[in-house]
Formats: sequence, structure tokens, C-alpha cells
Amino acid sequence: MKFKHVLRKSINLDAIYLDYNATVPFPESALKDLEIALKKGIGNPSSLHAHGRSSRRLINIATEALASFSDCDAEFVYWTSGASEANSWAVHSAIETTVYKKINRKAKILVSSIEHESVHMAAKYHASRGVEVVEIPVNLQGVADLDFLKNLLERDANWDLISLMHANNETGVIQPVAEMVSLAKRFGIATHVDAVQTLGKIPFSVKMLGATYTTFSAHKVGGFKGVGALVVQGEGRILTPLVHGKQQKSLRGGTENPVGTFVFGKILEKMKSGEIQTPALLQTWRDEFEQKLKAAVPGVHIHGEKAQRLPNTSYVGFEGTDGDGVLVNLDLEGFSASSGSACTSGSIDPSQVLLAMGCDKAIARSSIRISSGRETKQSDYDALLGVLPGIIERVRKKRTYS
Amino acid sequence: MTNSAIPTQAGAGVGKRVLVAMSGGVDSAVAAALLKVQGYEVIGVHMQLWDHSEQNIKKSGGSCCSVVDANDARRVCDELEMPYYVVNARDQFQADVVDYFVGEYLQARTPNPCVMCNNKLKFSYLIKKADELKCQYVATGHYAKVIHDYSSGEAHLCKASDHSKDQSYFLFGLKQEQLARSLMPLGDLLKSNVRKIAETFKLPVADKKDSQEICFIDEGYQDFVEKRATEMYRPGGPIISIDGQLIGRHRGLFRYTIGQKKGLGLDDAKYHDHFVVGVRKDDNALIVGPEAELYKKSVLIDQCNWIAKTDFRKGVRATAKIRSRHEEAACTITLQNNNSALVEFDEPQRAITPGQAMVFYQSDVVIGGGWIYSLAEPIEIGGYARSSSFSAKKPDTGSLSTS
Repeated sequence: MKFKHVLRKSINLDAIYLDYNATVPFPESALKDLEIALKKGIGNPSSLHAHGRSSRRLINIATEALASFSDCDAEFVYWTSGASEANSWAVHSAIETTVYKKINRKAKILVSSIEHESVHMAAKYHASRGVEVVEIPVNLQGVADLDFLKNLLERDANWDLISLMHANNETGVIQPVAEMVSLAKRFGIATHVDAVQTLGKIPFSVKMLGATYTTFSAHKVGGFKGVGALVVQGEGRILTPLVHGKQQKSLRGGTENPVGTFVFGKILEKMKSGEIQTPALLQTWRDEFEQKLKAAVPGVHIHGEKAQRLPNTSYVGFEGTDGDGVLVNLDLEGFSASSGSACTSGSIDPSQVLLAMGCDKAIARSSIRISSGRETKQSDYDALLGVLPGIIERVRKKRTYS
Repeated sequence: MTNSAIPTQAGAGVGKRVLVAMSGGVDSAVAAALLKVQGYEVIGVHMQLWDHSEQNIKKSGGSCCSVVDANDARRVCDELEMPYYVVNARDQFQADVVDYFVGEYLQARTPNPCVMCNNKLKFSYLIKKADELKCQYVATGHYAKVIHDYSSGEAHLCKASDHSKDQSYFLFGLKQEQLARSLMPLGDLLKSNVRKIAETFKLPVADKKDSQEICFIDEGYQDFVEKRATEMYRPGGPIISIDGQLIGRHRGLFRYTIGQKKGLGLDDAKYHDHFVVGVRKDDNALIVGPEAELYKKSVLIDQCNWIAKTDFRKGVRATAKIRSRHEEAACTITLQNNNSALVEFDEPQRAITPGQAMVFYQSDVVIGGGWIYSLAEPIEIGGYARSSSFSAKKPDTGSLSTS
């Protein structure tokens, strides 16, 4: 192929990675574990022979690791193809409760307006099938309005699920999930907490929190894409299969992934022991970056700035720009950031999370998310500060929208 | 003159960054590959113009989110290892193309949305995007040639070598400053070669079918317009024969175009060989007549754009296309002002249609064009001349000037 060498120019993987909320790079120290898993995870974990047992053992190790790290009962851990499946499964199961318990009314669920789209789209699907879905609003800082929830529950306590994520993936705003769960318990309502963004970022205990359903994802801590878990606990827990088959007590069919699951478990072990760490000063760097950015560029909006946030996340709108222009320029300059809400096509629609926070549509459209993590250095933030003002100025001058 | 769009020498594009408009089809994919071979730093951009989800649901029965073309373009860019971005231009497309399209039909004109899309989206919106991304050029997979004369700074728009695929008609609205920033690498290639090149590069869209017709319309255009305008904007009215007889009723002028014969619903067999020849705005009438009435020689155009430096002090001889699939015919252009002109064909032309673009050529060079406003002579109904929509308002006539 004559031109192949001209066309082949390797994708720039030296770019500074600032998209940890999308996914976290595989930690090198887990390479050894991956090698072990590839050697030992050959058999089908459902098989009775030695190869099968070996694979099963890998999964058991991972289950114990997740249970230990997140403080839950290993018995209640179910492995899934990822967090989206776990979220869909939680919504599905809660809705099936009415069928199980022969409750003679249509199913009713409450979901916050800032849930991950897997929750939103599942809710939308069920709504089209007659399920009543009500959204819990958020305030201007992106925090779920529990007064609204309380008032609602006091008038009508017949709900089958309340779903509120632990920390929002776009804004990083931490949600009052503990209050939500205790409120729900008072009324005997099942709860779902999507803890994908908080695992390893803020310490918490699944048992103490007490949500009926808790969602985890492996790749948000550096494991493989395609591995997630749903932890189901507490009184009156219901789990109705979404994927059918005999695996995992006939509740979640499909051959488990011994390699991906094991590696996830090992990463959690390393995080627990401190072998894998996030820079202690990450939040300081992030805060300094935001202050310097505001000083250097006029018209900067930091979403959820006054709320309690994850230490690694900045979600920033730049007046008079469209977010894709800024992102594309950053990509070309060697920075991997994100719009926070990419449609499958990759185009930018204004973030539903920001709109739910009452953010102006144009500002929402202009917003980009910068999320840091393990490999981030303060110099990465400095380098970003070196190019951002220039890009913003150029995009503002040449802006396509007027 | 150098035709910078053709890979005559490797390295022509070194140090230059170009934005390629990637539709997801084979043409733009090959354009990107060729530019990459020439050494350009190539960035692929796909414009989301229209939400096809409604159409797709109907077609596939599923709830797909219509990203097939965007994904095809992404696969091509991944294959060529070039950055790829999707931009959301739906609002612009709605305002500049869809609203225009519906509006023209409601005024009983026959629009050409592709020309408008080139003017307003591909070569305006995308050039601004190119500025944002520090790209010197915008490239497309159009079959046309842009020849940059670096000595005079002038750009020339010419027909593609593959005349059967030529798309220069759709590009007449480009200004010099837009052409100066444009590359059309397929201008010298035959379509069959383009497919071969796509196969050579193993581009995943090598066998993809060419797109046809208007990209945002799936149903008949009549249904599309009807859905977007209340009845008050598209009233029914009389059908009148050229000899002045009331011979039927129509259900809104937007349903008809000049030269149409089918679907008139006329009872009287006497009129079964009649065609739509015009409309009369005064009483919202549709005028029908025998085929001979379709042939006209003189026409007024407005919103002209002149690409080539042309001396208009005398009538200019050229050939003209009155619609995209029209065989060019010889004519004389007399400028009325920079914006409008009188065009007189040597031979009468069939079905000159207001709202369509008229594009002028001197051999293979596009000298410019305009939008058909009306016939120069009003059609005569019932033996006496009455103002028809064609001449409801004459375009401004101003001082004669050259550009």
C-alpha cells in the first residue's frame, strides 16, 4: 500500500489527559495482575473442572476485594457488563417490585434530574410503558432538592424507587445521598445510589449508606471497560433478571469476565493498601487552576463552585464560545478534556445536567469538563492555563454563533 | 495558474492545516485521503444538520439515534488517523436552509436548498469553524475545480473533469474570499476513480451508495411543507387555463412547480395535456397551458453573484443552466445592476422556474449566477396581459456597473 506510511501518523497519546471522569488509565502496577489473570482465567467460571475453578477463584477474589473496599457483603455483589447495565438493572428491578409483591397500582419511581443517562433513559423507557416517573429537581449549585423530596413523600409515600447518584459525573457535585436514603427508609422506599464517580475518590461504606442498590464501574478506577457491579442489600430487596441465564444465581446470565473482574479487584486492593494513589494536593491544584483561570479570562463560569465537589473536577463555561470549538482546539494542542455530555455522535448538545441546574442554554453549550487523577501533575494544570486563554480569545473572535 | 487541489506533487500541503467537511460519504472521504497524501494536516468535521431520528424510526422500526453518517465519517477518519469532530449546526441549517426551503414554496417558488446549504453552511459556517481551528482551508468532496491564481490572487471556479458528476452549478454563490479558502480535490477525478481510490485506501465507505435528493426530506416535499405551515399560509385557489377559463381548484400553490403535468386533477379531457405554466398572485391562481407555453426566451434574475471578472458594459455571451440537470443553453446577459440581470436565450427554454438558480459558464469556467426571479414578459392569460407572479414586482434597476 503505497500511501499507507504517509497516512499512518500515530494518534497523539502523549496528550495531557484530563478526562478522568470519562475513564481512568490502566495503572502500570496492575500489569502483573493482568498477566496472572490471562494465565489463570482461561476456563469458564461455571465449569466444574480445574480450569473452571481457577477462573471462578479469580472472580471470588475480586468480589471479596470490592466488598472489602466498599464495605459491603460479598454475597450481595453481582457483576455486570458495566455501570449502565447495573443502573438499568436497578431501575428495572425496582419497577418489577409491584409485580412481585402483587401491589395493585402502577409502578412509580423518583429519579433525580442529574442522573446518568442510563438511569434517565431506562426511566423514560418505563414511563412509555405506563410507569410513573417523577424527577427530583436540583438547585442552582447542582445539589438535589431534598425538601422537594420530603414534601412529596409526606403527601404520597407509595414509591418503588428513589434514585440519586453519589457524585455527578459532569459537575462533580456531591449529593446528599445519606440523607436521601434515611428519608426513604422512613417511608419504606427502595433506593439506588450510582457510586461510579465516588469509588476511590471519597471514602464511604455501602453498608453504612444503606442504599438498596449501589452501582460501581471498573474502568473509573483504571480497570477495564465492560466490567461493573450492582450491590443489592437490605430488607425487601428485589432483583429481577435483565440478562437471563443461569450464572450468578440465575439473576444475571452471561459468562462472567474473570480477567476484567480480577484486575478490577486487584486495583481496588492496591488502592486500599496505598500502592496506587491519587496526588494528595489534587484539590489544591484544581482550586488554584480555577482561580487563575478566572483571573486570566473574563466571562468564566464554574458550575457548582459553591457546592461540595469531587476534588478532581472542574466544569467550566466560557461566555461567548461554543464548547466544541474550545475542546477541538484543546485536542489539537494536545489536551484531552471533555464536554461532559457527548452524544453518541460526538456532537455537543447543551448538558441536561446544567439545564437542570437552571444554567443558561448558551453557557451550557459553552462548557467543558476538566477532570484530573492519579497521573496528573500540577504542571499539567499550568500547561492548560498556558493555552486556554489564547484559545478562548480566538474562539470568541471567530465564533460561529452570533 | 496552479491547481492546488490535485496531488501533482507530494508535499504540496506541508505545514498547512485544512478542515475537511466529512459527510460520511465516499467523496469527502477520498478528498480527505488525497489531502493527507499531499502532506496537509487534515481535520475532519461532520456537520449535524438535521435530526433524522423521526425518519430512521420509520425506516428501521427501531429507536436509532441517526448517527449512521456521523459514524461512517468517524470510521474513515479513524482509518486515516486524523482528528475528527462533529459540530452541531442544526439551528443554522434550520434557519438558513429549511426555513428558506419552506418559505420559497409558500411563495410559489421552487427552491434549491443545496445551493443555499453550500452558501450558508459549508462555505460560511465551516470557514468560521476553520478560523476557530486555525485551518487555512476548507475542503469538500464536491466535483468541481477551484483553481487558485496566486499571481493575481484570483480564484476560479470550474466544472469538474467528470462532466456527468459536475457540481459547479451548486457552488455559484461562493465569493472570491470563500473560494480563496476552498479546496476541492476531486475536481480532476472520475467518480469511478474515486471509488477505486477509496478501495485502495481501504476506506470503509468505498461501496457506500451516493446520496440522492434532498437530505432532510424523506416524504414528499408537499407533506414536509404542509406540516410546517398552517393553512392560512398555503390557501387553495382556482386553476385557470391560459385562455382564461376557470377549470378547477388547487390545494395550495406550493404543491406545483412549473412544467408539472401530473396531479393537476383536471376533469375536462381537453386539459389533460396541459402543464403548469405559472401562477397569478392576485387571485392565488395556478395557470395551466399547452406545452408550447412552457418555452420562454427572456428571464430576470436577481441576487446575482459574479465570480469571474467580467466586462458587462455590453451584453455578455455565455451558456446558462436554469436548473441543475438542464443542458446549458447559449444566452446574452445584460446587467441591470450588480444584483440583477436580464438573460435572453438564443432559443426558448423549457420551464424556466422562479426560485431556481441560474448559473453562467464560459466554456468550463463559472462566471457567476443568480436566482430566477421572473419571466421578462408576463404570460398572457385569456388574450390580454395580466400581471402574473412572475412580474408582481420588478427587481430594482439601477445604474449599470461592472464588477
